[in-house]
Amino acid sequence: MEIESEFQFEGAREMVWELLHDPDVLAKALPGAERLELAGEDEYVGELRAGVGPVTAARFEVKVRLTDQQPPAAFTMIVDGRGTAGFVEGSARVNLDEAGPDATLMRYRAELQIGGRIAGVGQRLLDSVGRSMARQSLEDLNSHIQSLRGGETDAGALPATSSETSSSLTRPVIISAAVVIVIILLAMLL
Amino acid sequence: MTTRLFGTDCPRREDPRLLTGQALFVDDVHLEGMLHVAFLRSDYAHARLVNVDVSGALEVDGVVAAYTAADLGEYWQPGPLLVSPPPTIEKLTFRHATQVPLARDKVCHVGEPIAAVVAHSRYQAEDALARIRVDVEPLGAVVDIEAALQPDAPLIHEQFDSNQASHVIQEKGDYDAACARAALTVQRRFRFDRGASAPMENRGVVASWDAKCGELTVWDTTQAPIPIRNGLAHMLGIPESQVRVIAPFIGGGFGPKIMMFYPEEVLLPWISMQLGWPVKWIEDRHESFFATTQERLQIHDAELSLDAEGRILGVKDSFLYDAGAYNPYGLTLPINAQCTLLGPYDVPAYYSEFRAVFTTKPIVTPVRGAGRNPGVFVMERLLDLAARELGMDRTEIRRRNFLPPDAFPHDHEIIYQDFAPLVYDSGNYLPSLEKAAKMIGYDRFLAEDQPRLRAEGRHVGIGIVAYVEGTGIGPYEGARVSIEPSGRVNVATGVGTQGQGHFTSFAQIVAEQLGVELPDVEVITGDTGKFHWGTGTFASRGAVVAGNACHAAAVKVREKVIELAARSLDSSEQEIELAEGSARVKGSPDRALTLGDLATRANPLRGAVTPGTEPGLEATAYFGPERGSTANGVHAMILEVDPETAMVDVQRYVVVHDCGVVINPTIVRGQIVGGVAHGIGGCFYEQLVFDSGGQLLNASFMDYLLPTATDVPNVETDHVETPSPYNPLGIKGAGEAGAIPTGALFAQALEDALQIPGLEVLEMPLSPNRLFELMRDARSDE
Repeated sequence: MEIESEFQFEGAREMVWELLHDPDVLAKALPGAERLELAGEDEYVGELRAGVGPVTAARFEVKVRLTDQQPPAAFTMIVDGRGTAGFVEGSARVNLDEAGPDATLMRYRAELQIGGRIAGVGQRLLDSVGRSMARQSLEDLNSHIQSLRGGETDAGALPATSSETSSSLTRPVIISAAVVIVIILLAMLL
Repeated sequence: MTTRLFGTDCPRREDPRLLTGQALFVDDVHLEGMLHVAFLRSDYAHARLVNVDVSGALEVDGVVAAYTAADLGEYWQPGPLLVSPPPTIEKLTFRHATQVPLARDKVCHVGEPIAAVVAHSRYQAEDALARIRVDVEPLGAVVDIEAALQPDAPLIHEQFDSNQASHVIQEKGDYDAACARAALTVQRRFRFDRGASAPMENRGVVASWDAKCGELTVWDTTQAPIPIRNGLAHMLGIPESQVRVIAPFIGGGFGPKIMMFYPEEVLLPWISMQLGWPVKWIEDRHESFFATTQERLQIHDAELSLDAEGRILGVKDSFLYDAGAYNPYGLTLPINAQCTLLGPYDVPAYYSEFRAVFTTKPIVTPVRGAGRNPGVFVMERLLDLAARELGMDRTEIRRRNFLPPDAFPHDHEIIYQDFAPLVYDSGNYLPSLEKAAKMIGYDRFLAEDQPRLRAEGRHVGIGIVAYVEGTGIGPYEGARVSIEPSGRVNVATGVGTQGQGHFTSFAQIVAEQLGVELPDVEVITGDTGKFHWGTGTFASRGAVVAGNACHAAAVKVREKVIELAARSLDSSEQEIELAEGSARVKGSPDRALTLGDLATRANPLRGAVTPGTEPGLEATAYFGPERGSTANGVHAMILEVDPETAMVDVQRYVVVHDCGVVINPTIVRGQIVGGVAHGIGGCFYEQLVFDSGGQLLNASFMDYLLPTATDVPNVETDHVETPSPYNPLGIKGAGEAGAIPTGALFAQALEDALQIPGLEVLEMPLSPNRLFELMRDARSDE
């Protein structure tokens, strides 16, 4: 299965990355994400619960390995997600481009093998429901960016990030971003 | 006077029980202390099993046991090769790999069982499956049957050097010479894809080991209870007489339930013996899409050579056959395709070659039609294409090539699935064609209706195709008929029943011989405790082989009755007639004894029986035909297509069928109609779609569409009776016929309805999407 899509954040690239750096924000924005942990160098482990249609609340353990990193522009993720409802394996290439002074375009392209019950029963629903879930997650992130941009004085619905403006992108930032993308991809699939 | 039952339209006696929920199905078996089994199945199409850890499952509440391949010890064995390749075919290579009870080293298709959990409820067992840890190392899936034969394809069975399971060549005459002098040669590639059998009742097994009696009882949705009994006894090391396999009422077989031995069938009895409790497993619908066998992917490169008058000079065909992950059923399906392709036609030269290919997809064994459907599709499509090239009517090209009535028995000079030469016992094809053409109004439709509908902007087409079906093959079946002192007649036969109406048709056969009414005849099928010789219900053979065995046993009992009645009534045997449950002297209605009285006299408590005679009015008989009988038929259809939506509407469907002598027209009609529904499913609704990773993408009835009542038209049927000379009753089989030519018919009618130049339907099944693509491609080529 191939997935190719893009999403434009209304915020500077640095801001987007900062946001992606904050696991609390992510957990609120992403449905089903229960755990995100650094498991080793360039490796992240997550757990999520998601359900669509006849596949209800399936638990997935997700392993992500990062390769081919070109900070801050692009990286590749090797994805290995397994659960009782099946598995997702494959790789995804993610690009973040500046699309203006206050805009960041995220493009992603994934080649995934989906197996087990989610392939056999969920196939028909993957596209439409998954797409709307992913869209919802991204919109949530984007509105959070808006609330941050709306004023440093306004606390907004979500807590402001603790990190100050980071001059360079650290590895955890990239990994956080990777996990976000993976979960978005999985959300599209589930 | 004698009541005529054989050949009459009496209602199916089993239906009241079936329709009011009184019939016993496997899932209706509830035993004290019964445990439930669930299977962990592979999510991967092809992977090495690194580790399977069931310890987590054992901690789940209610779980009694969990097993992996390692727990089975010596009991872990690959299943038997059910059908060896015909030793009579010279140019044949074959190698087999059969399914195992639980995957041990690797998995070869999605759904292959890896572990079994036993719990107090199925709910608990299913929950525990989620706690089993399986570490796998994925291997490449093998899905495309052409790519499977490439040197770089992942090897499924590592003991072999390729994924090719078999290569067979059968030849008759000199095709190249025929082609050289042909006025026309049509050559195309045809594809027929996989479908499921989709029975109303999935598979299921209940096994109960009684240690005190040393007896194993198994309720199984099998089409072959006797071979299952014999095999289980052998595997478990207990006497055959201590194993009873009961195939109760079964909600549809269609072929996959003839497969032996499914992993669950092997494991449930073993688990019951391990634990000392009865165990049950009922396949759920999702499991069924992987765990039950399927058919029928074949890709044919075929050509037909004809003279200028449209007479067939020869056929050449080379095809690939998808065997799935294992091939326990040998070469039955591709050989059926190879043989049935010849149809009702005189084909002087034939070159046919096939390769059977292992893939990482569920196992392939017969599903209604059993390889014949693609064979008929290829031949009928080639004839349609040739007729078009020659400017000839579709019925005319068939008429010109039919084997004439005096051509029988006709030897096609190749070998059939039963290892015997493909000899058609009898047939008379032209009347079927003419009758079908008349019923559907073929000439009038083409001359008047179609032009008128066209002018209205409607796309309505007609199709008409012919086929034969080899049915009723051996080796044999048996039956025991006995009369009780109550006058009740018992019939027991070994074949199981999956809805074919055996309780009616076998009773008709026996009642006719013994002069009793149907309610007086009790038929028992599929219980090895009642009869334990025979093979099973498959290959459209129940009525032919078991029916003739019932007949033979009834004739023997009739002889006993007449002999005893003549003696008791002080008359001669010639003077005795059997009617209304009595034996009586013709012309003297007072001199009569009921069959019950005679049964009592035949089994006296005191006195002496004549030395050398047997007690009771009972006989067992067997029937094994020398070879199968060849049924045939013609199907015709009127079909409307909406070129905008690519939706189709089958408006009329006519079947003229010759299955020899008909025991019960209603039952034959039921078989035909059910077959047509199955066939229509395989044309436009049912297709198992696998992705390149070997994942089945439509493993539920949400996405795998079955034709519903609104999709299946009222099927108009008529019969032609050409009795088979190979059995005393002159019967031929009818179980699969309805499904066999449907794809070919649908394709022809579609082309006729659309009349888009260049639109050729060379594949089955279609769907609205696929038909839309074909229409678009044909139009863009214009």
